Amino acid sequence: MNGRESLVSLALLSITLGCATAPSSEEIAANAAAMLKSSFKANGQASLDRLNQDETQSLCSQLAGKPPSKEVAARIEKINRDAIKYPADGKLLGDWKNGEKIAQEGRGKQFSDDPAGPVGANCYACHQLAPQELSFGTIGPSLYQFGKLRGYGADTQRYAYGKIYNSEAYAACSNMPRFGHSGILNEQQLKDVTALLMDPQSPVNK
Amino acid sequence: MTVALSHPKEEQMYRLGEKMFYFRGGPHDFACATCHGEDGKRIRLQDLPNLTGTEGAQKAYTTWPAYRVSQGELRSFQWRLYDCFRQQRFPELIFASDASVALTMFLARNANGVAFDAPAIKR
Repeated sequence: MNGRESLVSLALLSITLGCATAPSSEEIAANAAAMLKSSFKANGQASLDRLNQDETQSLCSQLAGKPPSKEVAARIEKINRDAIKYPADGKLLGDWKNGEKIAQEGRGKQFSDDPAGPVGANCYACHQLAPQELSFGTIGPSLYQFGKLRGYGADTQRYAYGKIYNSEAYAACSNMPRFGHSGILNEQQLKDVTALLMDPQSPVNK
Repeated sequence: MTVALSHPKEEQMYRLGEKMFYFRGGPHDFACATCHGEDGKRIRLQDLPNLTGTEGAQKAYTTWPAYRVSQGELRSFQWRLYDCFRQQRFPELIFASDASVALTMFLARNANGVAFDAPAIKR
């Protein structure tokens, strides 16, 4: 093959490859946005704006299952910690009995749920809590004896409330929903679930 | 299961499926990966397949369509995806949409290496 022939072959080869090259990351990102838009429809309370990510969701999605870098983790934890709103009355513990009901309740926010119906936290889906409940999941750690092991002090109360309110404030890209931040639970419910973890009388601490 | 990624469109769909798998959204921040990204996890007492690993993807993908005893219905893989997104608190997944095809491609490719074993019977 002489020089000119090999140049022509190279040109032909690059044309062929040009049509068949793997898509770049930018192309995939643009296509992913279009795919999302065309693939879902609003149903009841589950409107399409649920597909608009905030910064935390976007950063964690991009990691594709890998842990965040120190810098990204610090950024996520800061913006989420700054967004925690503690109760104006300063009281963080509600009624643990009601907290147990909220921890058991799996309904809420699905398009199949009654928008006027109960909204729970479904804690038992992922965590062990009261030892009487044997049907618990393992995506999150066991919370049995949460208060008993850590002590019942004000700092631990504040941590527990904050963690339930916004888990991303303490563990970037945690699997746990941000129950207060995202408006899943109201303030009284957040207090009740905090009491389930932190009240010495709660079965969690027996 | 021998799903190739030899055509660029196949590779593109696979990579879009992977994006969808890790896409966190909705009021609960859930992605497919929230429940299906690690080995040996469960929701309540229900075991969860890790769909990022070969074994989990094989077990899950090759057993749809399936007769769901609890529902008394034969359900498709498309339906399984639709119902996962319902539980993720997402809007409704449109059947045969690009996202559903991309996720199917992602999971089918991850399941390479075993015999397709559907229809199956599930709880």
